[in-house]
Amino acid sequence: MNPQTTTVIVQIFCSVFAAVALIYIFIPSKDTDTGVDKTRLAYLYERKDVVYDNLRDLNFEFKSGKFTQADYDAMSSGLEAEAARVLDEIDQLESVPA
Amino acid sequence: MPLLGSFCLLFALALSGYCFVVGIVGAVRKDFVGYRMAETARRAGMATFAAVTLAAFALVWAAFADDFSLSYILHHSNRSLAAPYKFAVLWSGQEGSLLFWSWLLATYGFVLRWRHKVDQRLVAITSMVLAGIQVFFLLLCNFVANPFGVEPGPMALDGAGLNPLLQYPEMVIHPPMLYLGYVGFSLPFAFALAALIMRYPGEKWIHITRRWTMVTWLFLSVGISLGAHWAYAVLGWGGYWGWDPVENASLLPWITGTAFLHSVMMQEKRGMMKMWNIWLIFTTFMLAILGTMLTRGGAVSSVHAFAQSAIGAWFYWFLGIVFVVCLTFFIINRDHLASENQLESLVSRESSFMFNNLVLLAAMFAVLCGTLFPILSEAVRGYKITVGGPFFNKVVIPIGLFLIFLTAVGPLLAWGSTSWGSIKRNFAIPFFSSVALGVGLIAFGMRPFSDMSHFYAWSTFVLCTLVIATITSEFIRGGLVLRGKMNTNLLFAIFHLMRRNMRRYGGYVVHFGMILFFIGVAGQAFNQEKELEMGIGDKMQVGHYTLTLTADNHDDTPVYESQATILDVQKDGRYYTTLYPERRAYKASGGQPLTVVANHISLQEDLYVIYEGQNEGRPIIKAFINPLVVWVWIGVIVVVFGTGLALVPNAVRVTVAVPAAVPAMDNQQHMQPAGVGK
Amino acid sequence: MKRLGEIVLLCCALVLLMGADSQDARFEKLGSKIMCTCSCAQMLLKCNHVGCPNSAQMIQQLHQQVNSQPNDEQVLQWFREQWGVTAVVEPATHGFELIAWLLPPIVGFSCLGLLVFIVLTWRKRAIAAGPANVVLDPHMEALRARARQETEL
Repeated sequence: MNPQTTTVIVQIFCSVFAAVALIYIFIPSKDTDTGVDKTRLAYLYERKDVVYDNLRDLNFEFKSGKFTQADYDAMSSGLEAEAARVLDEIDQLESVPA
Repeated sequence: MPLLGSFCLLFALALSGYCFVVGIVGAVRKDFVGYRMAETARRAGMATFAAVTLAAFALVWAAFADDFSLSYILHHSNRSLAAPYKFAVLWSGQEGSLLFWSWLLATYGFVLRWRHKVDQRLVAITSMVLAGIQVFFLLLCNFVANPFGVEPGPMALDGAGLNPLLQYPEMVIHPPMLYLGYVGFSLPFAFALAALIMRYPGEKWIHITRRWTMVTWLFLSVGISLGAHWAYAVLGWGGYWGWDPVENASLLPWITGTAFLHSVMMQEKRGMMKMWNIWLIFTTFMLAILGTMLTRGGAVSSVHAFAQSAIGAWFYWFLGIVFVVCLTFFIINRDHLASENQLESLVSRESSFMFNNLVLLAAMFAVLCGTLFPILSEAVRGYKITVGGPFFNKVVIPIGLFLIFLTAVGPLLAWGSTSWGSIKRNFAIPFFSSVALGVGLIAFGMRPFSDMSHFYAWSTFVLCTLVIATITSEFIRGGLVLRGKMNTNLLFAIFHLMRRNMRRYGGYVVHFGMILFFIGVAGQAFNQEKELEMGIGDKMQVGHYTLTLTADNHDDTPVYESQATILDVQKDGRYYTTLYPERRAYKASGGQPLTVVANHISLQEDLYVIYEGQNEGRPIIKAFINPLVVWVWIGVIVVVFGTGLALVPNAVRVTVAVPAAVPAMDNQQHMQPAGVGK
Repeated sequence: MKRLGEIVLLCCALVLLMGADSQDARFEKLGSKIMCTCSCAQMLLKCNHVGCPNSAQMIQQLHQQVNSQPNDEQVLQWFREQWGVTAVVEPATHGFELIAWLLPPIVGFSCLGLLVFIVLTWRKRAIAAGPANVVLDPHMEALRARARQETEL
């Protein structure tokens, strides 16, 4: 192919590509973020999942014989207290009408 | 093609610039207009990917079309180059590899922006941070190291060709893997910075980035290992790691990335070490940039590095800006990173993670110090000293041994604190197993006190036994619990155990792989080598092998000239194998030599033979016995497998529905630990 | 007791003797710390290109130095003076280059000290705060029981 023809084809291709890209960027979209910030309750549920996972892991490891009863009691007591605080706050927030 | 490539690079720069600037405006303006702008920024980021992809395609096309009007193609390709290596042209030179960096970053960014629904606000700011990095690399590609620069004068008939050392299948994969690792750390970095900028509530951003970080770490691990294997199989010096500055540069982010993968669990599970983690991932990203700079900027002497160029100054500025931005947002929002729990005991899983991080950081610092000391010495004393293997071995090996010890100890300790009673329960069997192995090795003739390297090897074997025993006990103990509950056999119970917690047990498999790797490395202490000038029928004795030279042939092909021998090998008097070491001189690269290593691999040791050269027409043969090397590669495969397992979701997932209507809380309170103020 | 002391001393001496390097071992060890200066970027004993202008001479000098100098550092220093500082791939253990050896342990131990300090501070705070959950609140106890129940295996 003649180099000049190639250049013209490439120039046309570049222009079409740029036009398509700009249309894609600026065409109005329904996919716009509504701007809702993450709530305290969502955070608490995340935290509850984590503390529950920690408790399950601890129970499993205790059942597999890794820790003494005294160690288990001390560790589970701390984790259960944390879980209770999270549950308490979740209950309080959920009891407030929206 | 130069026109298409140049246009796409410039257009990509404009798009990513828009994504960055408008992304900032969108993040600041919290109204509908702001959100619309943020959406256009996201789309501009996705379009950047299309533009950079076209630019990369244009360069590869030029390589396949033998378009030697492009300076880059002229210097890194030639007509007789095989097709897979024409792809490799994209990353075989400075300009191309920077374009490749940009393309990988754009690809990662595209996937991130495509999956923005995971958390739109967080992704929007993360996308803006990524666009900032993208702008830097596209500035380099457009104005400092343009791969579409045209060679003045008439087009040359043929190119200089790809470096013959790089014409090896692993070399087609090694750089992309390494780059995927380097570039991939941009993602967790961008997430971390975004979470800090917006004071993101909770630790969900870690959950989102966990798989990104693991995949990135995996790519970097595979990239480093492929490089090591290439050095072993192609360079012909008998080793796989030379502590070359560029090798070290790839190791630095790997070490801090490993530390991050461990310490981030403290943040997820206990809400601790938030400041530490954020700086760890910032440091990892900066080290990845430093690694790219060392390879591209020519600041250090290395077989890998490209020529000294002005590009180094750009990287220094970029690193400086990144550091200032990170530090500024850290100072502004540091109260957001307060720890939710505190360490209760030195004997706990938390402290084992902290020590693990400390040791990894010490290793990183030792490698960094050795790598950059020549630059420091040149600045202070006016001459560049050489810091090589002996320094790194002396400093890094003791740190590595302590790390193996922590790998054994960590999983057996409990969160919070562990009593002496629990420690005795968990350590009795592993401890006595490792002591038994240590005594057994001495009884079978190992002399750990005869030489420092033998002592290190012996210690490695003992500590590795400790780790293997602790990992095995973790699987068996857990399996026994499930066997009782599920009324099944132990093997099936262990399978279910892994399915319940893929991350944890996949992690143990990764540890096991690392242990196999360390065992392979420890084998170096027992390496043997011998060099001999040989005639036809001459014999060489090395270890329990006898090598007999049966032929010495010359060959002349269109691509290279070669000299090759045939060696019959006997082991303890019986035929073992035949080896064909060869030495080639590539014509397109001005006769650059390449050693074709003849390596017979076994689980016990490698018999590694090279054709070193000729003396008055007689071949000089060098033979190495490298014990346990194959375990290095097996270890890497196990690490890859283990990381793959850890990436698989658990069989049982605990999900709790979150109600939509809740009272709005101010941002400060979001991050307070539950129950604070009660 | 005196006998025990003698046995320990003897064992130590044996271990030290076992650790003593032969001249060949010293040659190998020092050879792996010196770089061939012909710009091949290989260690002296690994330099594997034919017709190297420097390696044969350097290896011969290394043999001479190993035989005449009892101290390894003196041998390395001789090579630094003879062939330039870049010939030895290990920083010297004196002068400015000593910093390279000192920095990693200094930073490592400083971090260790910092870690211990942080741990001790945290422990002090935990002790000062007193034992948690001393007061038994029936509501909280019920929530604890709920957490326990929901996380049972």
